Amino acid sequence: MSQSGENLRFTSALSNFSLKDFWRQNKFSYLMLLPALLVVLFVIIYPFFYNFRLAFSNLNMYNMRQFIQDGSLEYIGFDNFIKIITESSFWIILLRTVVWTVVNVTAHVVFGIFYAIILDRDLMFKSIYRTLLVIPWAIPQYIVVLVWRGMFNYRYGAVNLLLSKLGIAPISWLSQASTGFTAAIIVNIWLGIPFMMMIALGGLQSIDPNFFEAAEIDGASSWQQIKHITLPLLKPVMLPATVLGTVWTFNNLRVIYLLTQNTLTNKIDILVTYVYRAAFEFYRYGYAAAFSLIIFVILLVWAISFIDYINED
Amino acid sequence: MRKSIITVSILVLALSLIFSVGAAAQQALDKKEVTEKVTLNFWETLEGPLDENVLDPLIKKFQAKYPKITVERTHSGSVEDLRQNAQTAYMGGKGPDVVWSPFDHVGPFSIMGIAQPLDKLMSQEMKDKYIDAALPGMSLHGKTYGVPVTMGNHLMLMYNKNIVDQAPETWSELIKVAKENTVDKDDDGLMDKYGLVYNLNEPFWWVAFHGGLGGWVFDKEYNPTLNTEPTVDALKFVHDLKYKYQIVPKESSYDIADSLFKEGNAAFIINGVWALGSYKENKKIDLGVAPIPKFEKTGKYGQPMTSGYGLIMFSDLPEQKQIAVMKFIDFMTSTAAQELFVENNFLPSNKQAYGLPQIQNDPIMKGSARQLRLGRAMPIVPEMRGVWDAIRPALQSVMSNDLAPAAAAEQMQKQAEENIKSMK
Repeated sequence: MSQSGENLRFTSALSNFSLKDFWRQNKFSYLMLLPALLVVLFVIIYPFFYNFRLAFSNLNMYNMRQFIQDGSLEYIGFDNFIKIITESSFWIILLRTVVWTVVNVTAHVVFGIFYAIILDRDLMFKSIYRTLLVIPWAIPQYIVVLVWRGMFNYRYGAVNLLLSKLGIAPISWLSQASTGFTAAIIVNIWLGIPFMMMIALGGLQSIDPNFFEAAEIDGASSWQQIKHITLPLLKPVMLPATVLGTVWTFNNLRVIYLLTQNTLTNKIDILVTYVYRAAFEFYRYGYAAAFSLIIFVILLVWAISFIDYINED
Repeated sequence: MRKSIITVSILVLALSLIFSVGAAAQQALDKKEVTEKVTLNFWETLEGPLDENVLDPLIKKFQAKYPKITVERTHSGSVEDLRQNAQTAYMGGKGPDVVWSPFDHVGPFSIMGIAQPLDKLMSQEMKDKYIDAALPGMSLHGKTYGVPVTMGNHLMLMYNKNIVDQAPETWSELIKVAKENTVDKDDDGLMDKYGLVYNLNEPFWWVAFHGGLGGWVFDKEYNPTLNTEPTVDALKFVHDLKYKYQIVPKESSYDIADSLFKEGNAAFIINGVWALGSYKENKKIDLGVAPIPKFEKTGKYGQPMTSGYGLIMFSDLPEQKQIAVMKFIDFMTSTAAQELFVENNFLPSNKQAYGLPQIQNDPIMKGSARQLRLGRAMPIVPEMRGVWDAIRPALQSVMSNDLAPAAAAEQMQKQAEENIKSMK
């Protein structure tokens, strides 16, 4: 009975719908959105479909001339996609990318919340700590990564100097795949903490202090307060940040590429660095376009199922 | 008298007719004049401060000579940046008109139709003013796509006379001297001075060893030839420099090698023409230049790949712009302009510039020219990129002691074949 009532209401809402009224009511909002929409159209939506078109073509250096002159492409169906997923290297790189993303995002979220909780307390020199913690975020990534590359140098780098002070033998960080990958993860974790920290800090400040007061009166320890009040109430804030963070980390070209481009070629590629080299070093535009579509699908499926999973909880 | 006047005028007429017909097939744009105001978009990759010290004064003189032409110079970062950006910009219709590129950009630029063939646009007189190796260096499949301005861009052995008196002839001599000069001054287990430094993991350096030991990267049809005895020998050789003789730093990028040498903490460095200027001026270095030593096994000196920088005109420009670009190229390769490049330690492409006292009387320039003759022109086909990217990871693995030279040679060949196949 109630279901049919709902249906009725739904149809009546539809039948009452008038474009004119809708436009009159929301005109201002849409006009305000228009400039942003235009930008999105040109810098995201158009290139996306352009990329889609390239993905089904065999565009490379040798047939580029035709494409430049009159935009004609030779379509080869799903050949690019089949080629990619039948390559063994794809699965290895995918696995490495997953490891890269999971380790990084976990560390970002954990450290981010940890520092946010500390900073939310009444500390001496709080503003100094806060500034220091935000610095990684404030310097251009390009420069940060190059500085880190210097710090990981075997003979002169700060990292090894520190290790040798602690009595640990120096490590040739950027010569081996495993240590190179570790170095990249260290750099990226360091880079990613401030973002999560700021988001978590914002979330913390919006939690009603009455909850904590009530919990304290009930005799809850501070760990219990964090576990039962802070973390659940942070969830709605941290969820979109985590999704964003994952996509960014998954697609983070700069750290690995800049840190190891000429020392560990091919050895610690993640999906995006691989695509970048296919497109811009080997001129395999069709192939690279197909590859980036696959990355897009992976991230899309992941994001949808992650959000579903969290909401079910 | 009258008859002879008629004969002469007929002759003149006939000759001018012949020449004008010749000029129609051969447009000789460098001989034409610009009639409208033209702005040239010029992108270059010359390392700072050379871009300001060499190009800017030349551009100024050029603009003074041709008041209708304005040259807008854009420094477009590294060589790779220039290639990618120029390509993208060209597709978007906003490309440069002329670029300063290493010879090997001719490969992708010509195949994609970005570079303008110049054979018909140049006068014979202009073609004749270069040394024989120049124009072929920027030609592919019988067409000239660029005009070299500097020749070489090659590696050579440089040494600090404050540390070693003279350059060794053979590698065993060099290793002996280098060992004596690799020292740990403060006994902390880490070396402070090195015998030899260079960019250990970079294929461009490695091919000088490879060539000296008798190898080459391609056969005549541009198929890779990397799984060979010279490849294994060359990999073993560089591996030994690091692990057996221990005369090179454990991790040595270009910057590390460069700064060690500049601080006077390295006896020898293998580095390219571009570094000569800063080493000459450095007070801690008394610079000597020699060919990369002889390998005992082959009796050959190290064989660096030679290349150079030149100007490439982009295709489909309006005629006025084409004329302006040809004027610009002609100007940059004139003896007067080339003198400025020579003063900055580049070897010129202009024949006459080799007679300049700066080359004849300077031991460093002479040494550089000698090494140039011992080098071999780098292939400018785009397949070369597949080869570089095949050598690099295998070389890195050998240098980090993860892969035996024989296996690395096999891997290089396989990877090079795959890379080249994937590009087609």
